[in-house]
Amino acid sequence: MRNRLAGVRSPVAALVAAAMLVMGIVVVPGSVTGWAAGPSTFIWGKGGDADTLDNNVSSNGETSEVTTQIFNLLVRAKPGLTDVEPDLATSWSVSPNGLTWTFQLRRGVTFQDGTPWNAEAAKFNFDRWSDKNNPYHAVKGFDYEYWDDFMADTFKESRAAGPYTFQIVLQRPNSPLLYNLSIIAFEFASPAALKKYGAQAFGQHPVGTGPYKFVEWVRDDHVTLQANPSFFRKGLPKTQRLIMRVIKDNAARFLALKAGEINAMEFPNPDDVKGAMADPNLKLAYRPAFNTGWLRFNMNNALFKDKRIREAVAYAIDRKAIVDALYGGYGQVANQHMPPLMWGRTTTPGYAYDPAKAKQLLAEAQYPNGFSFDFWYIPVSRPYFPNGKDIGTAIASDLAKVGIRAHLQTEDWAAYLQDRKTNKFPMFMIGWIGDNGDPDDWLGYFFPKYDPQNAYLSYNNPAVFDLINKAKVVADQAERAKLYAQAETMILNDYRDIPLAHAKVPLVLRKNVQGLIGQPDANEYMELVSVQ
Amino acid sequence: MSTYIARRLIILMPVLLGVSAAAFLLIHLLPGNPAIAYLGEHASPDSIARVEHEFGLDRPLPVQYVVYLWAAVRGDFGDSLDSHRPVIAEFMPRFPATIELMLGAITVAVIAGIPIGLLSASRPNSAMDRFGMGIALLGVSFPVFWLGLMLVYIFSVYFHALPTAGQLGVSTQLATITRIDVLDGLLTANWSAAWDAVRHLVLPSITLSTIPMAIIARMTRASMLDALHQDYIRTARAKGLAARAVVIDHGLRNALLPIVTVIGLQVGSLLTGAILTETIFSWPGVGRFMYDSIQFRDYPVILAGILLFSLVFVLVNLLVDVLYAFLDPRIRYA
Repeated sequence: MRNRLAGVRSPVAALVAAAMLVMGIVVVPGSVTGWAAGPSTFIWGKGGDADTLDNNVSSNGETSEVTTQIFNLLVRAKPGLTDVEPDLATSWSVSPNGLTWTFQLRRGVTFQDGTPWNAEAAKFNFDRWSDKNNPYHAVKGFDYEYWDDFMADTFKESRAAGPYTFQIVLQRPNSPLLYNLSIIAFEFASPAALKKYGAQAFGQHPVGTGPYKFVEWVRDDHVTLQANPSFFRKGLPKTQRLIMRVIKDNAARFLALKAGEINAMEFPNPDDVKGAMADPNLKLAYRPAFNTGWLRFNMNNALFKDKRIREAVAYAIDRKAIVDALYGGYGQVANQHMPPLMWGRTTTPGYAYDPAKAKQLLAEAQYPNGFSFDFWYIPVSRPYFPNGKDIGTAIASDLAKVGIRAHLQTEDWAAYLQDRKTNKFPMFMIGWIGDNGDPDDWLGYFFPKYDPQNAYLSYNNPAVFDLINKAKVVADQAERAKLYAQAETMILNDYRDIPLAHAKVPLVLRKNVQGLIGQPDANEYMELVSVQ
Repeated sequence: MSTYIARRLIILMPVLLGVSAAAFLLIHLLPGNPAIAYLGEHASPDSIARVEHEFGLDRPLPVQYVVYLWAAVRGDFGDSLDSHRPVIAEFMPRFPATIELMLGAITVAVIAGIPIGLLSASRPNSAMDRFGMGIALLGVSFPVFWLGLMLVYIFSVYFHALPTAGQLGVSTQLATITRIDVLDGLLTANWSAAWDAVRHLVLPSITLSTIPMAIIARMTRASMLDALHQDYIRTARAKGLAARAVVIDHGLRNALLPIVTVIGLQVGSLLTGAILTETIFSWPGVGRFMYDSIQFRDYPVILAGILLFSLVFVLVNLLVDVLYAFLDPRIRYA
């Protein structure tokens, strides 16, 4: 009898041949990655792609990571801090009535296309941002979000008062102006490039004065930048080439780092941070805590109109235990809305953990046996709430010990952002990552007004609003700091919110990367980085 | 045959119309405002109103649908709410990337799956059969996410043999023709780029191929077992034909119809559902793009994607039906 198998040896042969082909591809040395970086190249692994490279019209953090390397501002945040320092302006002053800001511009600076930086170039950019009829204003699908939010309601005009003297004239005083101008959205673009490419295409052909100039952008893959030889900070940048590589998955990005395909990365998974600590080829750096997570009461809700109830909830939560257990070692308990590196904070101590006091307050409020309510937790991961469900569960557990039964709820993030501005949520988790180091960006946003239909704006204290509004127009920073501190003290005394945590944000680097300083606003100055 | 194909293509239009209406309604039922998703946590009421007006989201739903449909028939599927680029421009580079990944995965799946199925069918209930079906079981059981990361860890991190992610190395220059990088490399005789593209394709293809491989292997085994018990096989052996000719030329040829059906279905599925693999390997395809768009409530992209996927499934099914006629001369379409 013939062997039935004889006729099927060819499939076996096919399998073996295929396996050998695969092994050949794997084993044969080739350009292992095509990504391997020499010492003159720094490859940064980022979590998402930019939407444009014209940051004037973008509010996307992935964009600003890139444009920080290409452009400069009048003033910028100091490395590792939120305090401002000179950038394209070397000094500034404000008129006694607070309406005219005068900037002395840095001399000898050119854009990457060789055209000069001066007061005319500054005015060209301001005209573009401020005037909807300006021929370089309109960019289809985009808007001047940061201009509208931070400048539009006080800006009157700008002037080139001399070749290197630039003035911003306001309709009314705007003391946060200097810090607002340190937001990357107020970068200065080359007027010549804007004229050459037009507003619409400039986002794919960015030209600034920054340490790196644009080479190419492969969407959802990488942006390649080359050192600007005429950068005004001499000796910088330290690498010839900077590649910002998009790898959206945190675990995949970490593997690329371990394989040496990237030199540094953001947003590692907590388990990978532990892995990095044990890996001799890797090390950690941190972005300082520039964020806060807190619980917000809906004070339009009958239950939480009563201050004793809010106070009881605050006393019932062991915030230190939650932060120690659930923040991976890089959280710290928040005692107020603004993180420690900000000015304008209060010295009021934070809420204590005292379950007995909580029960006493509940009894006084006619709830000796506690009560039930829906507690909404954040569905996305943020530095200030790395895992909303776990943190929400821990909070609910603490509340249960004093008789408060919190029913955990959540929903899709887009719906969450919408519903927090209705009266749907009795109490919810929310947070903030700062735009700049001015307290107006924090307290001014959290407490602008009262709205009876809006849980987020359900705090009605005109005295607080007055303090915050006054601090917007007072010129002296020390005086402003006192006003913000007073406002924060009143808010804390009212138990309007329960601040929970600030968190520094880990970055993971290969051991041979030097000079990377984590920025609070997540826009690192990569001109400082060298690869040994 | 051409009449049949033409008729099937004509039926495509009402199918896509129905799909577009159902999809339009369903995505607008999703909770969450795309304007807020676009603007994020810092959204002010004025900003939200402005974005809603800019993207026509403040109009009545039927009006939005009619406006959308009128533009779509003229080839304008709107702009992405996220990137602000035309939706067509967003899909154009991504779809070929998905095709490349699909071709790689289905090639691995067919090359591995059919021989495994043949070997198992040739010795039913033997150790070889159990081994083959054991491989199929593992293939369908491994979580794709885990498998992908493990392959990267072993071959990229440990052996430094293959890239971790991406479709092409950043230093590799390649002229774009089809946007299928391996093919473009071959067409432009850029052998180093083609090789780099193949190396980037290996791990994601293997990762994505495991489930289709398992399904193809099992279907091949079942179909071959059925075919090998037919009278014509006994006749072929009685005529003295070599075992290879009996199994391959007579058995496999007749067993192919269900196998081709399964491969066709897998192709459709791979073209639309490689989200996890594309995520792990940063592969710039449509799967991950659609997932991000749904998270972002990017309505124009979601709609266009659903229409595209519907089109793909219909065309793949048509191709499979046409293939039947070539494989089985008894099949004739009116």
